[in-house]
Amino acid sequence: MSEEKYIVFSVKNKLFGIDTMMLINVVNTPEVVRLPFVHSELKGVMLVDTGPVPVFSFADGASGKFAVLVDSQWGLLGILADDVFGIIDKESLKISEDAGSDSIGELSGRRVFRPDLKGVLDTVAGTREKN
Amino acid sequence: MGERLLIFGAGDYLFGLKLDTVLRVDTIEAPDEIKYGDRYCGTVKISNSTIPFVDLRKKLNSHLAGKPVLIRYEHPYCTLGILSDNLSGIQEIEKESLIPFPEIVVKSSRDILQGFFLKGRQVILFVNGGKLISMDDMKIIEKMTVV
Repeated sequence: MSEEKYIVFSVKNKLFGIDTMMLINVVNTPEVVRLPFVHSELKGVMLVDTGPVPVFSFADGASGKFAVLVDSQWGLLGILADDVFGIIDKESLKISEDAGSDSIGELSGRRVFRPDLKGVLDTVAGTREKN
Repeated sequence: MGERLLIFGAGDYLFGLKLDTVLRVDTIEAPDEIKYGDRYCGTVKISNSTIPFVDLRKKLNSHLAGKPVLIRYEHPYCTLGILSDNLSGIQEIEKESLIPFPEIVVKSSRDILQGFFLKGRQVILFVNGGKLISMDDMKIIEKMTVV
């Protein structure tokens, strides 16, 4: 049985982790087609073989040097990242006792968050107000 | 059978609008009167006609100087104008070459963006002219037209 692993990346100094079961690719310097008329967290689309993939940012001012492509239950999504730390196994992510449901654990003393993909999608679609 | 689109530019974007909805295109030299309401909507008086418009130049932070191009087209509510930066021509595209946007993009744009096609490396956004202005915008315009 394969061990649980996470792709860990940073967006504006905040670390995020996504289960590698969902990971499709990590793209360096992604070409994102910017779009007008859409929510600011939807940065545009990336063109891949299967068609355009929506690309999101979890923070204003993120560099978008990388895009992490994932196959979520809502379809293919891209997340812009400033830096990618790599694929880390569950054992290396120190699970803190006070970690909430939005947290996966800690890496080098920094908390690793579980990205709220559903929340971002609802916000962008206009079905939920941004917090 | 292909679709003929009027291609125009506003801000950093190129748009395609169904040509069969377009009534007239003018470069506005010196409008008699131009009024702005909220949300980049307004009315422009040309000769004896008052034309409601949505200003895509302002909406998309265009920094291009020069005279705007007014595209008049059939919107479900009325004849509506789009103020844009420039015209790029007419393009016939095959329906198969139109790449639909993912549902989240269509939703987030409130149905304005339907898809796009590529002309070389250029992306041309196919817009639903009927959604470029909302009912709320229309109410603002109606108030401005009545006053």
